[in-house]
Amino acid sequence: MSSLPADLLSKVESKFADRDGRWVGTSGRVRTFVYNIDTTIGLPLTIDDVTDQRWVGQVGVAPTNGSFLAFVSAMILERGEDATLEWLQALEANDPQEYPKNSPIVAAADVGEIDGGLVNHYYLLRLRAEGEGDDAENWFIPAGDVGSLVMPAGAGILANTDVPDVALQFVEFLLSDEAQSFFADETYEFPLIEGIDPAVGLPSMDDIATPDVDLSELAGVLEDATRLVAEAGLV
Amino acid sequence: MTAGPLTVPTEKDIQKKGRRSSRGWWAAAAIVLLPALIPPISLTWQVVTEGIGTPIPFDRLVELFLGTLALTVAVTITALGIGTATAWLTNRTNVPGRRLWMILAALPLVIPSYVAALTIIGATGPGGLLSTWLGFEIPTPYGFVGAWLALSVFLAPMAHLIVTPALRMIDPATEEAATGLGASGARVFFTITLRQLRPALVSAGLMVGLYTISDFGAVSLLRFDTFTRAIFTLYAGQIDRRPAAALSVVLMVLALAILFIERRTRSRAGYHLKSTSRRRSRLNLTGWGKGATLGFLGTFVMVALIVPISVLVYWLVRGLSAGQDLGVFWDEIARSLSVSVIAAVLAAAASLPIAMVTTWKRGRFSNAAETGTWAVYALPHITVGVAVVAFSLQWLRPLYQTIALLVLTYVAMFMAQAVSTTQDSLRRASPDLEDASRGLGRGPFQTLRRVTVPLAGPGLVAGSALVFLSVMKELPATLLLRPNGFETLAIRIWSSTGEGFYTRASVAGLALLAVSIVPLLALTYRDLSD
Repeated sequence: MSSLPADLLSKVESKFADRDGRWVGTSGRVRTFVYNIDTTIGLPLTIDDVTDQRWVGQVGVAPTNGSFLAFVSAMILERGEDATLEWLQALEANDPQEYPKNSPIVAAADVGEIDGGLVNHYYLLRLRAEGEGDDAENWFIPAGDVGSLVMPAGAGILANTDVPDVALQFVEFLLSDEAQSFFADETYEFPLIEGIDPAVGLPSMDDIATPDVDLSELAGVLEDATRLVAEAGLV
Repeated sequence: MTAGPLTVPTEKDIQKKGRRSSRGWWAAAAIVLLPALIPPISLTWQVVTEGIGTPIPFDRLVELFLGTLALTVAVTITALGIGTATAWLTNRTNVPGRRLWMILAALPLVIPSYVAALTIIGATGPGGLLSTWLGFEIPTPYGFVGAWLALSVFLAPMAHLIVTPALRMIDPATEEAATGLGASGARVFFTITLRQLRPALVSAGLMVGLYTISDFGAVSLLRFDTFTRAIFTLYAGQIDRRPAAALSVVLMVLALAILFIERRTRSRAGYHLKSTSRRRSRLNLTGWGKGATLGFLGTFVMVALIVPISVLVYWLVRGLSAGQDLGVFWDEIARSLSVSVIAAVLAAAASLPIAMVTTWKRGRFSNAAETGTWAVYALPHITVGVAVVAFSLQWLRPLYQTIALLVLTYVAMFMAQAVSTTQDSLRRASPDLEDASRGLGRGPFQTLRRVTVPLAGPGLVAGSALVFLSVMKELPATLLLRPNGFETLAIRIWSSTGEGFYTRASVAGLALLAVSIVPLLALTYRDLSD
């Protein structure tokens, strides 16, 4: 990957860009606990509360999904492998409901098939745009742990590209007001540049207690994350 | 005017010419078989040379084996039962609306298993469409029951389509004789009709059973653990590809075991049935029989067709009234149609030499050829995709991510369907007809055109229609092998539902159904004629 120009990198907060300038975040996805507003009493205050007895058989997860693995990777960076494995084992011991992807979890929480689930925040807003989803709500776990991890979608330029100018123009476009508004209003992700607001119904990202994880290191532990998920018996 | 010297071919001439022409067919069969052999062989080679990586615990293997086997047996029996019943009822009775039922019973085949599973989830459970209609909650059938239900209902039409032509080829004389001698209707069905249907039932059973082994959509969404679901999970979650490849080889062994058992139990007796022009009298249904028949067909069509389409339409209407845009995927329709048509035609063409040589003579090569086509058919499509990607990167680099390779892979994956239906057609004709044509001086191509193709015709048409429908629905291999940006309807449905865009998914789903109906009508057209 080639380095991106500094003025482009500075359009987003420094935590949403690679330390070495190889990629820049273009939109934000936040991990959340989606829950059914009628059946769910008492919400998890930390990510450890999700493995509480209260949730036996009631939590939906998508253990093979990339976003769940990114979340586990962040937990490894935050707590180390042993503690992460313990958390995963505690989750598995609670008979979680496994789904192939995020959107069926949100739909299941909406109809009350499960009380809640670990997903990305935007699936609920998409379900609402389809005319459903009124019985579910996103809960951003307030402890500042990986339960509310922000995962930026990012863009970078390959070092061996034939068209570096076009590639740069494209990355610049992704950080333009137009593209950022598109991400906010059409895919319900968090815009990452100043001056564009997230979609109606979402809090400002500043009001979410996001953890302090070095996203540049996330990819380095992804393989460990998949290994731990398998070791805990989730797949 | 003097007549030219008339040479009467001796039996020796006939045999010699027959042998020479058949050598060409054997070579053709070997060549068209090559693409089908690439995935199984490259996969086995990978496991042998690279090892299996982290071994899968033995008790997990046993669990997967039993789950896969139980589902396969249950789905095969149920789908054959339903399919034979719908075929018999719509061909042999005078049930009101017979021709309409005949089409309706075949239609659910156009519904991909992941759409079937999604609509089952959408129809049941709290707030589900069916639960709302009925006024009480039907629990969503997760696990074995759900997977069994979804696959049985949506594969039953496969049995229906294969049993129907076989049912019509049976000479009514035997059945009429049995009836005349005082046998009851049920006795005639079980001792005569069913016995003559046996080869068709075996073909249908293999096609349904091995499809069940390879299915991912239904088992993943309805959450029942099989080899294929585990293989997908291993591919998706891990950077080490070896355990997934190893598990795929285990699955292939299971498929081969099923083929071996099928071969051991296959009746040795050949059967050259002649198509009959005799009109058969249909069973006159009255009173209870008519009510029960209508009830059965109606329930099947309700569950397999009306409920899934209603769920799709409901998603569409719900989304539109919530302000979603209605976009029709013309490009996706064109792409899906073109690759499906090309693959269907090629698969039918490729199936002809294989079907010919395997019907002529059973031997080591023909057994291997047939097994090869079924082995790749039973593999999970993601495994085929990964194997073809690996193979093409190493040996066929220029073909990587081309439509040519994609179509070739489709042909390899689904050729078994065309081979099976073409074999069924050829078995009904005496092979002497081809020998006679060659012996009487017709060239090999004339014999092909004037004798073999007409004989194989119904099987070729049925086979290409089945392949068309399979390609239309195919997802995992398409995702891995398509050129960049080559979005098909199936891909649209999958990615839209995955991302929660249900309106788009329903538009793509309804488009897929609409487009698939055309070949299905072609498939049932002949049967409608009387």
